[in-house]
Amino acid sequence: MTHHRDTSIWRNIWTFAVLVLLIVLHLPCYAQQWPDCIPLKSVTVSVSYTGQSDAGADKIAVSGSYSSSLPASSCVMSSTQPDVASLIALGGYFYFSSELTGTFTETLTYPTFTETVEDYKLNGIEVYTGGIESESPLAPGGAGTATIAPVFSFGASLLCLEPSAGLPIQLTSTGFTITGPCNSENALGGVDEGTLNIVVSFNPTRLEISPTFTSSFATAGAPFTSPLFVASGGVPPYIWGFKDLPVGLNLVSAGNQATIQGVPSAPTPDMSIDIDGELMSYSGTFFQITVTDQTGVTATAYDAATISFSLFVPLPESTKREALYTALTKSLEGFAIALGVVACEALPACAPEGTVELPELTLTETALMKSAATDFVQALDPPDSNYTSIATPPSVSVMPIQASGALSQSIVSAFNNWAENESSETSLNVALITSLNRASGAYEAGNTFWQLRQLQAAKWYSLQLSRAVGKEPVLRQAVASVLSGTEVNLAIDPSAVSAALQRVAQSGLSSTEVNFFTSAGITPDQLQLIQTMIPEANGINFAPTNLASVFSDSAAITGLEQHAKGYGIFGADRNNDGVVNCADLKVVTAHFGATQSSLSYNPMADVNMDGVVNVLDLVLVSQQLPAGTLCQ
Amino acid sequence: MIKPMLLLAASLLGVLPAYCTTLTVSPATTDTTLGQLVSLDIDVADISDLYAWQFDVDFDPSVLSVVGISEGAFLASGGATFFVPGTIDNSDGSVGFNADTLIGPLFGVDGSGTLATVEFDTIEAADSAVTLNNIILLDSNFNNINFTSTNGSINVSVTAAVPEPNSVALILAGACCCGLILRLRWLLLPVRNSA
Repeated sequence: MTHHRDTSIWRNIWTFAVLVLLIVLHLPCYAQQWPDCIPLKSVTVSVSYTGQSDAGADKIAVSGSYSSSLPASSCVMSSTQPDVASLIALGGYFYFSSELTGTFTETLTYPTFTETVEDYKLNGIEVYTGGIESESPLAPGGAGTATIAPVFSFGASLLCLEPSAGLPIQLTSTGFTITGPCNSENALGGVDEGTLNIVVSFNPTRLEISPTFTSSFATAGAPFTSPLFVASGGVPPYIWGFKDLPVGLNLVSAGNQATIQGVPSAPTPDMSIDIDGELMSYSGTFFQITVTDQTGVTATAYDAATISFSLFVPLPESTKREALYTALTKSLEGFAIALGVVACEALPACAPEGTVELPELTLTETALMKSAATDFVQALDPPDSNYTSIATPPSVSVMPIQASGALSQSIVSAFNNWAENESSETSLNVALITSLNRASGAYEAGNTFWQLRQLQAAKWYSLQLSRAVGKEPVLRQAVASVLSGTEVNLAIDPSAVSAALQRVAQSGLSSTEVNFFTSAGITPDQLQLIQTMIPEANGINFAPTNLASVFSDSAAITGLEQHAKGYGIFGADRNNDGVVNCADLKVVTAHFGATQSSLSYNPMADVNMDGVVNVLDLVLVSQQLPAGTLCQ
Repeated sequence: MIKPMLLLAASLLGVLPAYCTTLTVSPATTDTTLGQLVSLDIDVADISDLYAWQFDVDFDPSVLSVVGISEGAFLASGGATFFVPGTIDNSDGSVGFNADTLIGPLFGVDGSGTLATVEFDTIEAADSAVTLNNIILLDSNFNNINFTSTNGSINVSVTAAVPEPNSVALILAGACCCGLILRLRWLLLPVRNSA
């Protein structure tokens, strides 16, 4: 007896599978219609069927499966979940450039044995069936061969599952599954009943977090919630992490979304703050959010994404005044020199008559530029609404000293070199702070473009500042060296300093001093604050000292070296992760050759803001890395 | 007469830029046959404190195509480097924005050596210039280093050229032939006489 196993159910299965694959294979990606379209690495299609074939007297269990992976240049919708009917109605969404090939493995379970046959092959858009040419040993109660209908191709009707009937599928960024009954009458008059399962799996896309950079504002003591960060790609579920979160803030995550929430506390003493409490420390300013997916197959292809953003914590007014007072005490050097020399103008003992004639306020200018202009400009740095304009360093000029009497040419040269560098530092610092304020202003306005441009400017000025500050120790040592052993030994008289402070407190700054501060970029409002705060510095116990010891002070020089390093790290940290490493070099090389008018231009790659990403940008970053660093 | 010459020389010295550093394509001229791979070095000579460099390489895309570009040994002699192979565009005939930099707060390298090596495939029998453009040489203080550059060329022929002997070799060969003939005549003379 010949047993003919019916083939219609397989025809149905394959016809439907072919239709699904045709959707996948041949229809273009309408990325414009579906903006969530993201590129895929590859796709895996699995088809399986389990059921029972009633072939006359015999009832045998039938199951089959097929699986194939293929590369793809394609898209997948990541957020919407339409059913097959709407998918078709959209005119298709998926596109794969490769042919699908593979073999369908079929298992026939007879009462006494199981047989596995590989007989179906897919090749491109057509389905070829080799057929069951023989069944051996013969099935109980029957004998002979079974044949399968030969070829199904595009356009075959759906006899098994009807997508138009609205079979729902759950379409996600990782794929979709179609499951449904697949019943039909077979050639022997029996009925084949079973369930068809088609799984289309999209292999992982690149793991990413969006947005990649943002900045937030928080107030100490007040609840804070950062912008929402969304992970995509990779293989969920995701594991979120963080690094360098300020005290009081925590990561809150769910699925592919995370945010930073909590009540930030005031900056702790180990944090470096500027006068109004913004977190200016580069180790505390930026923190990272990370996400890791579950894949272990190709770990190098799916790097955990990292995101950084800056957090500004304005301080309460009382804390601000304390911070300002602290800043004044830290500026002892500058104030001592500045106010001491101001006092010296009325005290001949400070500058021995007939030996030294300093131009009026020369020392005052340079010293104040260091201590007062820098700190006070930083003191009042609210978000700046003028964020569509890139700040340029203001012109800060210093009246050079002329050689005269005991003031030899060597002294004059050393001092003028130092003073000129000081003016550069002041100018760059004003530009740096202005750019940061404007970045804050752009953030408040939700203008990401200008936020990034202002950050680009801030980093460029920071790098220049790093070089200027880095030169200062040598210049100071030079001044100290030429002053030693000479008659020029300007003693700082604590009582004179106190007298000067009292004068400013009672009578305000002189017109010359006002002109100086104005030329240094300090606004009238800021100047008012300076005059308000100076009396509070009156309690500072200024120690007697002299210029030579001031310029050679080792603690001050060490501090300058640390400042130079800090400015350099901030400027060269192109991916804003708080450190300078090979990844920052790659930010530059990823956009190498791009000009400001090209689509590939990235402000973080154009380090020196000259409108072209080239070797100079590369060098500005590479010099900040430790010597010997190996980068591939 | 001497004084005007000295003045002229002095004025020339004052006018002409005193660039000692040179960037050259080496060898300057390469003769090869169709289908052969050719490697050219980009060499620098007499440089001081070289910290980083950048240049484009341009060529005739109907004659040559670039297979690859690799870092030379010169800059790496000063420490760890970060080499950026440029973007190869064989349709336009360029390798744009090749670059290399030392890493860390170091002084640059001094002397002469190879910055990079470019490997070409020859795809048509013709001549192609190999030119350097968009050149930047930087010292450790980010200053540009002045230089002069010399381009090269690759001449592709269908078959290998038969090298022609130079005139001295021809004279020597002729003299050898004459000597050989005289020697043969001298050796054969007794045989004739005996015959």
